[in-house]
Amino acid sequence: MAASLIGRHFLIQSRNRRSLTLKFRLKYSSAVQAVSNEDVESLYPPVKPRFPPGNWTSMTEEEAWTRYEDMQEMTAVPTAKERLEKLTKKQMRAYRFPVTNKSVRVLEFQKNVTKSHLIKGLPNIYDSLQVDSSIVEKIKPYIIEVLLLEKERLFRSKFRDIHRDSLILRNLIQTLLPLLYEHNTALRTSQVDEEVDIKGFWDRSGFKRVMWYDAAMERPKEYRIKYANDVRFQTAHVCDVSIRTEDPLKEFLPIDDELCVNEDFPVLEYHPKVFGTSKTDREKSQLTPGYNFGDPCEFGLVSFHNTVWLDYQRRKYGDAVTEEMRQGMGLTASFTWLLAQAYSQGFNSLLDVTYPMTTQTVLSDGRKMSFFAYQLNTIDMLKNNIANPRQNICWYTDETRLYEKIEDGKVIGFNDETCETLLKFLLMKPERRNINMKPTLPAESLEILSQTEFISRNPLDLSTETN
Amino acid sequence: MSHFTKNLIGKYIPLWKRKIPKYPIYWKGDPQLRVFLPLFWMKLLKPKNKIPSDRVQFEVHPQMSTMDVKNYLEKIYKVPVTDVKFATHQGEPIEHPLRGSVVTREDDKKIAFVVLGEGQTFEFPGIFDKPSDTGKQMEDYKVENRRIERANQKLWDKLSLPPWFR
Repeated sequence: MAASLIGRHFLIQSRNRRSLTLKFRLKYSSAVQAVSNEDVESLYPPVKPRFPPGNWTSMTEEEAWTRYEDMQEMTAVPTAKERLEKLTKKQMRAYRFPVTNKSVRVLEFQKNVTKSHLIKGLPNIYDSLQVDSSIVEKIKPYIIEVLLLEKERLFRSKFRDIHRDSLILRNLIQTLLPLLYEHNTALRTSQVDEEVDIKGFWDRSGFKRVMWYDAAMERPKEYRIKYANDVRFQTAHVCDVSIRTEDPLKEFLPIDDELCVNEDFPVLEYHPKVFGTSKTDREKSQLTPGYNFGDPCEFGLVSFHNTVWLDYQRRKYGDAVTEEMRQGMGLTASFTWLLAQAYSQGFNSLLDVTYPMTTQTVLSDGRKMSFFAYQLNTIDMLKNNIANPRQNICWYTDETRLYEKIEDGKVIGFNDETCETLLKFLLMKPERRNINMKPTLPAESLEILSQTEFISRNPLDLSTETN
Repeated sequence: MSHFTKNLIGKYIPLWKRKIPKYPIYWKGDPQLRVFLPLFWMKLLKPKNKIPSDRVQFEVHPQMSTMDVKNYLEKIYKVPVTDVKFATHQGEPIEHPLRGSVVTREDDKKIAFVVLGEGQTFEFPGIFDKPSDTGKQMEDYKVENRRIERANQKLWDKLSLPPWFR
């Protein structure tokens, strides 16, 4: 305190307007010793740095600090279920982001909101994985049997197209899986579900939202409305068949690859209203990957969805528009499933994914098949492109037919290539990685302790195995 | 009586506001129905927010359907259309000047959101934009004003005459 008075001028004004300037100069005595900063008890708290540790190029200082404090609070929560409950406590209005989006020319919007990049063709792993022709020949008669059953022999004419095609898919997979156990050991300890509810929500920056507004005229106009620069999207979908395994799929590309990083991701200038989105009511956002958190099989292998609605759109709009809708469907379906799986590992929009997660999806109606592979590199969409340059990648193929016609108890024009790719998807072997799959959760979290391997490695072994 | 009918009793209704009469039933073999002055109309709107270049907004006769809008654009103006969607905006209320209570409402509007096809684009022309470069115009205006003021000061005693005689 005393050191600040050296060399300072004090101006004193009296009532009679006589200004007096006084100079104070303090002289040190030799008895005074130098004082270090550490020993002095400061009366004021230390100066807060402008930005917290990390990369925050797009946000203001206030937003960055609130975000950092939210992250600290979230890491203190021990289980993934409690983290979800904390995030969904506040009731919010979200924009609906359907998987079966019936509005026209919406693909750019879908790509921007999920921050994903479309690539034609499947990743390189599928070239190296070769399916023996002996397997195809062994399985071919079973597929033909299923198709003839569903299309000719069984009485399915009273059902609607949607139910008929979902039944074909279910029947196909129920017959195929037992035949492939010897080739893929992971299928023995996998879980197969039908009519799975898949829901997910996430926040995306770049769109304006009103946080609150004050209708009273007391404040000046600038302070009457507060805007936030992010918006919540919500998806809800019912998947026909999903197969889940204990170990995750291999990653298709390393996370430092060129395609996974893109600082020039295009920014969308238009409001979601323009693309035909509707808002939900003020309600709690919902997220389910199709299983309860703590399930032994937490990672998805394949999911099957039916595409009957695309035939109706093709009649209305033609081929070019439905092609975009098909690509959008595969993209959003795989994205939401991966998002929900990431939440089960303890990640969320505040705590970003540390390793890439992957799935495979198949869209078919029994005859036409299209294959998608997706790699999730980020969930954090609140940050700028420069702060978070990662992007997600979606690989897609053209629509190919399994067969041409079914006539008089015979399948005409059976396509072996689509059969091969289908089997490649099912024979893909998941791999246990040497990383901690739940790095953000504390080591003694109850979820990890309670997760049991109740599916025994040898199903035919009748002796009870307990951990 | 509702405010819709109150506004229309004893008044001349312009053609574009009239209700479309019911079409006669068509039986097979009848001659094609011909309408020589259809009551359909479409008015281009300037979008308040930014929209992509292949989308257009129109205000439309309230009894038009999606097929009507599509055929109107494709057959008369040869513009390809992929999709049409509608929204009806309720008319704004007209309030009593003293009491402040709502007396009637303006008519409802039907708005069509059209997505063009085959790579066509459209941008609303800048007719109603304010001129960005008003600097030069303002200067010329000021100079002219000053000249007129000086002239009026000189001929202060002849201001009652028209300018030609001053």
